[in-house]
Order: sequence, then structure tokens, then C-alpha cells
Amino acid sequence: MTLQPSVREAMLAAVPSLRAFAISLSGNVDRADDLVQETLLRAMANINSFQPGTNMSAWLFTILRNLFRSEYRKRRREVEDADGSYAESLKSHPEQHSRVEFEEFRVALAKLPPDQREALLLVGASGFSYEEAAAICDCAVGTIKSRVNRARTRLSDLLSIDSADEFGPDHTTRAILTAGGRG
Amino acid sequence: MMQTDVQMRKSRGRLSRHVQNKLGETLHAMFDEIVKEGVPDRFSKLLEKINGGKAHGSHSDDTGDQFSKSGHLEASGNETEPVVPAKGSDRPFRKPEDDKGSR
Repeated sequence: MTLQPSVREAMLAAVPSLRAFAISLSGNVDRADDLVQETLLRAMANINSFQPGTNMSAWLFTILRNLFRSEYRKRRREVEDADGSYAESLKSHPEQHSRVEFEEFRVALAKLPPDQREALLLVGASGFSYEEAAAICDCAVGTIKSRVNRARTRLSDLLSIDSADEFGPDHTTRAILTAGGRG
Repeated sequence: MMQTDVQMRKSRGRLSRHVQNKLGETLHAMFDEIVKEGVPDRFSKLLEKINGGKAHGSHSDDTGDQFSKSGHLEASGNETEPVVPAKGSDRPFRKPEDDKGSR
């Protein structure tokens, strides 16, 4: 199998955000990387289904999302991994935000129903428009909007974001918020 | 000093812009941290390997083996709905450049 260089480059370029999506969706780095790998394999095997000139990233996100859903259905009875493996995997990185806050956020994220979580991640973090997210999730734009709204509301409840200067009980999230404002 | 909840929530079930921004910023910070890790070797090698075909021999089969060993996605092709969207499906995927400004 040979991929056109431009296609390969487009796939490679999408990998970092694809991983971020997969890790946030599954809450587990190893599982996420397996999902990304399977996504790339499926994409390459079905490259003829890709319409040149359309958004490669959105196409790959769609495949990954579908794989996650189908895997999720099989694993439904398993308890979600909330043992901190995600935080653990990032510990060696020099430029850190507060692990505690990311961990709190990740745990809260894992408590959302999958359809709300994926909608929030696509629109709120991956930079897709509501229309693109609706296409990726194969549902109506209004459905995505309502899922994103419900996800935000639930997260703010779980994280107790009620007052202007508070994000959780210890105020330590300010570091993240400041860092998040860059670029 | 403390603002009240009333100021933060416009009305029932609707979050203020402030709370939405906080959530958005945290999400972005979390994402950015992963994105900054770039492309792990595992994936660049995978794409390179495929590109070079199987002629390279020695490790051309890692991918499949590693995958079946992981056990996570062993039921490939057994999904109840298609994983890869069909060509010509009316999903309106635009080019990435089209929505750069909307972030």
C-alpha cells in the first residue's frame, strides 16, 4: 500500500489532536494510542473512501469516534479507568500545569455521558464547528449544541465553578487558566 | 469580594460567559499539553512502513501483532455501524483552513 505524500502528511499532522481527543475521550493513554493506531490503519485501508479536498482531520476524528463508540458498547460493563493513569503518563514532562487540576477536570469529564463528552471535546477543544461536530457524530446540529450545553453545565457543577475567582475549593486552578490564555 | 451565583448564572441551566470561558480555557490547556507531545514514533513509523510497502520485511508485521495482543480492538470489522464514513456521504467536511478564524 502506498499513500500519496500529501495524504500521509495530512494524517501525520492530525495525529497530535487525534491523540488529545482520544485520551480525553477514553481517559487512558494506552487505550487512546491503540485507538489512534486502529484509526490510522482503518483510514489507510479505506483511503479510497476519503474525498480529496475535504477535511482529513474531520474524517479521522469520525473514524476514531466510531471506533470508540463500538468499543465502548463492548466494554459498557467495565468500570471507567479513573486511576490516574493519564496524569501518571504526563508526569515526566517539564512544562507542567497543575496535575491536580487537570486530574480533577479529567475525572469530571469521565463522569459525563459519552455523547456529551465527545460533543464538548470536539467543539470546545478540538476546534470543530458545531456543523462539523454534527457531521462527525452523525447527528443534528441542534443535538450537538444541546449536548455541549449539558456537558458544560454538568462540568461546572462537578467542579463547583460558581464564583468569579473560584474553581474548586483551593483556588489553584488559576495557574491553569492563566496558562490556558496564551496563544 | 465574592460574587454571587446569580451573577454567574444567567438563568436556570444556562451558564454565564465567564464559566464557559473557564471551562474552555481548561479544556484547551489540557488538550494543548497532549498536542505538544507531537507525533509519537509509533505513528510516524506506522505511516512510513505502510508507505514503503511490506518489502522492508523485518518488522512489517508489528502493527497487526501489536494490535491483536493489545486485545482492545480485537473485533475489528464486527461493528454494528460502519466505522469509516462512505464516500459521498453528505457530511459537510470542510478543509481545515476554512474554519481557522472561528477558534
